[in-house]
Amino acid sequence: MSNNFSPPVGLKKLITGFLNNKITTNLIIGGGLLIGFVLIGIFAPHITPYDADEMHYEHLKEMPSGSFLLGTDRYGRDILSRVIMGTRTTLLIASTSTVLALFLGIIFGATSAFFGGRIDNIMMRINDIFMSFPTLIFAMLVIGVLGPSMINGIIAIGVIYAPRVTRVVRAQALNIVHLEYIDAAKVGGESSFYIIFREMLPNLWPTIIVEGSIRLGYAILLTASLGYIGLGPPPPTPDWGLMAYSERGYMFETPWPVFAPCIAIVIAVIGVNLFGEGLKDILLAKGSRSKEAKT
Amino acid sequence: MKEFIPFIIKRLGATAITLVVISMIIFGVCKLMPGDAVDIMLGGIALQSLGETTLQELRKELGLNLPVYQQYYNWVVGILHGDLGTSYIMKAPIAPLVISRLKTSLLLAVPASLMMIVFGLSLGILSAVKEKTWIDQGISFVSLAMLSVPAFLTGSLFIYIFSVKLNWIPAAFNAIDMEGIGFFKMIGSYFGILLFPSVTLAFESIAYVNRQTRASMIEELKTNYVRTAVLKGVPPRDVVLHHALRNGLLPAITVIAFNVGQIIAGTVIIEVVFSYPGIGNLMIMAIKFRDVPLILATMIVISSAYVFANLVADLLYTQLNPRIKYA
Repeated sequence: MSNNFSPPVGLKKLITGFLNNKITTNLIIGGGLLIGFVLIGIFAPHITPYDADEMHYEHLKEMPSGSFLLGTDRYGRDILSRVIMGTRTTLLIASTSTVLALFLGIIFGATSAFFGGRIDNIMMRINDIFMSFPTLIFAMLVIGVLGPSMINGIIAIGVIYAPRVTRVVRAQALNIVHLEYIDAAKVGGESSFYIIFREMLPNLWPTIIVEGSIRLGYAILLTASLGYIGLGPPPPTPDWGLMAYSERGYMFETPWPVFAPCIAIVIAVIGVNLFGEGLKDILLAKGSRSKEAKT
Repeated sequence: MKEFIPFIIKRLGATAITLVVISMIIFGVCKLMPGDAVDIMLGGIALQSLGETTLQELRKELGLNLPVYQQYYNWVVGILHGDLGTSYIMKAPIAPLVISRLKTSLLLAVPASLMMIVFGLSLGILSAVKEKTWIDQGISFVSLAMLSVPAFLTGSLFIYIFSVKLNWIPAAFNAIDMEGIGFFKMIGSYFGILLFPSVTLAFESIAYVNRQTRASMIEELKTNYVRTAVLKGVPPRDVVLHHALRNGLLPAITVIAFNVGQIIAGTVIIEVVFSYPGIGNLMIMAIKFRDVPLILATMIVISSAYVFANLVADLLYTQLNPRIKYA
């Protein structure tokens, strides 16, 4: 068995896709927005016009103006700075939890498909039970018990999305588990671990990448929703959902503290969704994913 | 039909197992909560002055000295007898409270589900029939937007427009008294104000149903039997509504039932946005005060509703689709 390194199929497909001009407008707009948000998240403290927690007592609940581009909140904090800093919080929670969900989902999904039979059956029954738990309620349970913090949010979202990833990965893995090269590896006496992660996994990457982009969109919305009901990172952390919630009583004076973070959420989610659509066009053959995994 | 009865029994069994496991998870996770229930109950203030023996007695009274499996057993037996325990914070039995809150929540969820079915299906059929015209593209764009917008933004927008600017509805709904008003008055107040949280709740689900209906209807409209019907001279309206829809509806039904569950769970967010006194706000309050029996009760009620919605989906789907094998 040669152990020459070859790039995973997903990466290869992406590169050939780019080379063959399969780049769609979706991919460009989505990718642009996504890269923009990531850059904003990384350089957040350096590009905010004011310190996000600085309170300007002479400027409480102001409408957008030249010095405060999106206005100020009830403590006189600059909304634009807080939205920029919130990018970091939200993206960090959403992307880390997506990675966690993918990690767990790949392990369970690929293992389940590889062993098949009774093991597969039992694992899928357990998976079904976890999937019949409403996502928001499960996240509320975990965060409510462990206490609201960034790390608990990541755990809650990652764990509740893992069964959904498992299902998608398993479905794709079942398509390749009976192919000759897997049989050859089995006959060659390779360990199950080696076959799952070195033989099967490279062919699962296209599915995993697309699934990851779908999950990321949902994760951003769930992160924001949890922040909104007060189960995100505790104040004064600038979190989009939390900002929209804590300022909602002052909409009579200025609606911007509520709507600015909401608009950021919408743009981020649209960006991720468009990017996901673009990736799907490159990575997955048309119609291979007609039944989209839901929530 | 002959195979259907054992199928139902099998599905009911699976649902029961699911509910048991879910209740175990909820109970188990809640038991991980740091701090003793007695601390929470007393607020940690009087602990020293009470003395250890009093605390032990209190624990015994609450059944907290029992092993965890025994506590779980007692809790489940209680639920089966309609007893959800006693709230630490309100010092009152939970069952009547949860039931009345559930009713107020359903006042939003049921109309939202109806809206989802009516608008989701009709918009989906419309886009499929007008495929690739500006109508279709418009509907697709709007539904994509609806999926990317968090429910609290839609709700906040409604509040801003209809409460802050137009002053049609109150900004917070918790002052509205749902108890003891008559049926017709309830309908009246529904169209007055409750329409807005309901629409917000239905928003995302309408988009999902619309997309699924559109996709399956487009597929059906391209089949041979539809072409035959058209060539036979069946009026286009009948072709769409009687021939294609009958098959196109099947995938949509799964999505509809799944989204009924989503709507039930989604009330939590909507209730926070509109400060609506439903079961979701009760659950959030319970979490904030770490009132374990109340957390358990609200979570098991919402999760059960969700699980049952999915069960109904399964049964409906198999009943309507003659091709499916009863597995």
